[in-house]
Amino acid sequence: MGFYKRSLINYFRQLPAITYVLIALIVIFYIFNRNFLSSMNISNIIRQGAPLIIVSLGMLIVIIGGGIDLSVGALMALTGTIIALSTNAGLSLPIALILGIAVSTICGLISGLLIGMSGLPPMIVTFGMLYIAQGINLGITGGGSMTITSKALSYFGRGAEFLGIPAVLWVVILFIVIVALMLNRTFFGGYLYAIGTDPIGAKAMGIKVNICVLLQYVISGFMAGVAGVVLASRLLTGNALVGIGTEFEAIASVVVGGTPIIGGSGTLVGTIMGALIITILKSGLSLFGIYAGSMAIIIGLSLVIMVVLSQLLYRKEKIEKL
Amino acid sequence: MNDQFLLKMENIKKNYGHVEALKGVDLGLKKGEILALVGENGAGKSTLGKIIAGVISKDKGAIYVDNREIKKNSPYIAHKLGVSIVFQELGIIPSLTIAQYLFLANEPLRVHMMVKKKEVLSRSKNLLNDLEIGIDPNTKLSDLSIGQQQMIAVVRAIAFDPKIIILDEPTSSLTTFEVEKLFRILKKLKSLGVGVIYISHRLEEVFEIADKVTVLRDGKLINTVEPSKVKIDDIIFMMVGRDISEMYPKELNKIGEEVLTLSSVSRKGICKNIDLVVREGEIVGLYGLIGAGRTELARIIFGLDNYDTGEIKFFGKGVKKKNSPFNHVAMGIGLLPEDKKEQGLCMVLPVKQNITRASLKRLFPRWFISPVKENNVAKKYISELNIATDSPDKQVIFLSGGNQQKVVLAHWMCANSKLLILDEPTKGIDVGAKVEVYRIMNRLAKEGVGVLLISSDLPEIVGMSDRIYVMYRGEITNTFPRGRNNPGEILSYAIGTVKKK
Amino acid sequence: MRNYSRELKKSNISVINILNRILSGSSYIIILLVLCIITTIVSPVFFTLGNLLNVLAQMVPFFILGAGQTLVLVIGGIDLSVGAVGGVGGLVAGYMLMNGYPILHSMLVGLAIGAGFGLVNGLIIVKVKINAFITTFGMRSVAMGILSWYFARKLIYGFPEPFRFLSIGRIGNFPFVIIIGVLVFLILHLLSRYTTFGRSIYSVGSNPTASKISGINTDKVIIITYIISGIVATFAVMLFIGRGNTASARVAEGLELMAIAAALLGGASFLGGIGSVNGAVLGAFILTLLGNVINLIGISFLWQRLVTGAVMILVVFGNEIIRKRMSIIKK
Repeated sequence: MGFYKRSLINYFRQLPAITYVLIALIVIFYIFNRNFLSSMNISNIIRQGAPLIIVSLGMLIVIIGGGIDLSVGALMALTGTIIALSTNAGLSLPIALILGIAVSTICGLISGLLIGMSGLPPMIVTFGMLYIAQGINLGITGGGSMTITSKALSYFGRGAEFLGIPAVLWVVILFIVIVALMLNRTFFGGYLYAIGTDPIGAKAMGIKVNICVLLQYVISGFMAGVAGVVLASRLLTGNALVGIGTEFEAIASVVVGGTPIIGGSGTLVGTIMGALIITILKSGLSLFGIYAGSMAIIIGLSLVIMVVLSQLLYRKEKIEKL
Repeated sequence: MNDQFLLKMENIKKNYGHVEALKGVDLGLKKGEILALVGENGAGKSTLGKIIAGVISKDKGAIYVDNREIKKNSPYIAHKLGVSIVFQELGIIPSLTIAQYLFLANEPLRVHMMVKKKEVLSRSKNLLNDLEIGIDPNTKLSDLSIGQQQMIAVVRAIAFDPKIIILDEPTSSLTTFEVEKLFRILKKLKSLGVGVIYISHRLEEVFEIADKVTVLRDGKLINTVEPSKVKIDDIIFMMVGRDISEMYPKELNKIGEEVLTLSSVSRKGICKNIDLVVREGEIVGLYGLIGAGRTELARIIFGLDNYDTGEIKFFGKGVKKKNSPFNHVAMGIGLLPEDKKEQGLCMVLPVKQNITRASLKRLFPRWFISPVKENNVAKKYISELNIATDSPDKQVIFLSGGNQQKVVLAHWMCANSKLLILDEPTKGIDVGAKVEVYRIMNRLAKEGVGVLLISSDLPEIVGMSDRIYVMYRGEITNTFPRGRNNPGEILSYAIGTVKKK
Repeated sequence: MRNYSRELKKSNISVINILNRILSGSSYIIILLVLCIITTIVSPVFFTLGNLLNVLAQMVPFFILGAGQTLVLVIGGIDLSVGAVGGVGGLVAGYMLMNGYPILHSMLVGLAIGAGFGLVNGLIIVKVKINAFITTFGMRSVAMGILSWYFARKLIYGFPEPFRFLSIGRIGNFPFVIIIGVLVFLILHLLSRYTTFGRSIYSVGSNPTASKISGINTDKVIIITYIISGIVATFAVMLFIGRGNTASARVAEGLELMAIAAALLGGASFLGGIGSVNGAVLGAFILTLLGNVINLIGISFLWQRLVTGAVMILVVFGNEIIRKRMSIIKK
């Protein structure tokens, strides 16, 4: 237990900037609109932010290991479409969900094979996969939207609560715990940090780098699938435009949370805080009445600024350390 | 007699392309023995160590561990055999804690994926205590000093309960106190029957701890001796002794004005109070071991890095501190970087483009490139320097190492350099090409170019230089004029046996 | 000691050499051949002069996009913002045209906007040292945001005839846009192959450190290349806009993929230092042909994106295999 207590404190000491930003954002939005911290709004924020947090978890795993996955947004959307397709075709909800997540995981597997086994550059492969997934999505939906009529799913996403906490949040917490265990407590986590720091050295240590890299992308695809389910449960549609830009938000969450883009180190807590900052920004802005387009600009700009800042900060830290 | 050998290597050969890194080396390690591997940079010590550890493969020869021949090796197989290695470059993973790192790729596992954290922690604690290292195993590696990290790297090698441990330059970042600790650990391992291969430049340490010393030179085994029966100077002689005069076609030239003057140049952590002069027509050697700071100094001179105090003058004129390479090239200064593949050449581009790269403004002042002129210029240098390529259009990546180096030299000659800094110009090149490079160096000097030759090849430096500076740990510890240099003495300054004059 | 200058004088034009060059350099030429065969089978009338001219006309904007991206790839970077940035510049120009501004002014303003985005991209990449991918991806988000915010509700229409002539005008039966394509080709080809600046793009791309040591101002070269990319992308989008009478924010969709695919299919590589403007011609041709073939076979255009993505991965894969083979030969 002492281990966890100490690392928590360490995290907070190491991330003063982000914690303050997060708190500051919450405070600012609260000042402008008392409704911001109402239980309904918080519930909304959680439901809106859940997919991003889940995807960011997968992205964290990929980035720590030195890779990157640009296809997650499209995979999320594809999952939703597959769910819509399956339920409309009469399949039961559980099967539809499994199909959706399976498709997304398989895409991750393909990416992982190309990157881990054939050694292709992750950016290109996942970028290609992004368009492949979008292409499949467009092909199925014909450019439009398919509605999901499952009442059970709708209840899960929009209403269900367990012990006063939205069901969606339970899912998020579950995965946070799983990923936390994976990073800190399994040998796989250690291998990821090793591969991200020095892939050749990792190989010399006897680590099977190829397989680990493959797993990274399978996990990322899986997470994208889960996030797609959560997203679909809220929006109840399947179309190709859903979740556009999520991959970048996920990358930003990870980077802002203190993980350098080249990998080798990174914390879960930081990533979650990063994802929260982005989600709060989005929902806060909408409370202000700023929508869609201008929001995209502001978010795009602030993301770029945050990535820039965190890179500068990280580099500064590194130099001081030496 | 054979069954006493923990590790036996016979006639090991290893080639890197044209270069013979190991030319048939024999090695024998007994149980509970500490065997030191010494030799200059490039003698083949690290290569041999890596072959034992399965990181690289041998081309020819036989390896026996416990009398069983190992036909195929790999990090995994070596690990299984009980071979552990600590590389020169450590291989530390900063984001892990000590405990995590010690057992990485060797974890005791519970339910199939989870690490038995308690067990890892307690075993780490025990290990550290046994070795008298009082650091909390929960500390992140990034929070440790380099010396501490080096110690932990050694501990990790020991954590595997190996039969054979290979340490490559294990003391390069350690304080004297930590070195003592390391030796205590090694003696303990010895008593447990572990065989240690200790690769190092530091002969005094070697004499203190090793039972036997194997000397390599140029990839060949020179001799294996017992430290108690020889003196350090004998070892140095074995490391260095070569017929110097024939290989180095040095000519003496008229020496002119100063082209490079450094006065008390210092940069924190890199170098201190460097005074150095190069004149027209001179070849000035800068010798030292890896880590002495020579390449860093070259980068400072060339303007790639900054310096804190002191003054640098080119051709008698002082330059501003934050100078940059563009001005340097315009002034007629050139740098042949140590890593020619990474920094000296554009590998995918053809020879002719690599030759003209620094001279574009000069050759084509009106922006437009005339392919005919470019071809002619390239052909001129190709024939003058005897670069082996069928056409100036061939991509440089297809040339041999020696010819690639000639292309880089041609590049600076085309740029009309008056001061050339050559960092390890003959590294990784076969003997024939080396001689051609020396001839080119001579020719440059004859034409009045000032050459600063940075090299770890002692005979080369002794053979080609008019004067030699020796650098140790960031300082110039002595200079030797031509004719009054004795390789053994130079080496002693370089490895620090003799401190600054 | 051999004298290599004598060997130099011998010319090395042998059939084997030429074959070697073709085979080793281009999995793309093979793809092209295969495509041509498929096309002729599907539609025997495809390769008539009239149809070919149309195809070439279709191809021009893709070539322009591909050429710009090729330059960015050669310098070792990537520009994911081309579609969105081009869209902003193009739509601003369209807006000005709609409101009666002179054609030249409108186009210049649009191009200037493209250049501005490119400048920012370059500055961030070079000074702040953020990865090109992330930077241009972010710029893409920003530009997309501008597109959807400012232009979502506006309809832009009513472009003057001379402007539209650039895109769809004909001289006799000959599409004028081909002339524009040739002009752009000449400019970019000359720039990249026969100027010192073009040479420095290749140097910086294949080895920035070596180029720096050789005295090249790597920062400047990189920034200018991104500026060119922005300008070129905007120009291409203007051609797209000129095709129809209205323009919307959707014009920018998917363009960056096309640009990258055209560049890659033309032989450019993410490694840097490899690629050519001529290659972009080939790449754009393959892409256009691909699009036509898909249509002719009857697959809906929606699947086009999938096919393009798959083709891109295949090309990179092929590239890798060729690269590995080259390095084995080297040893």
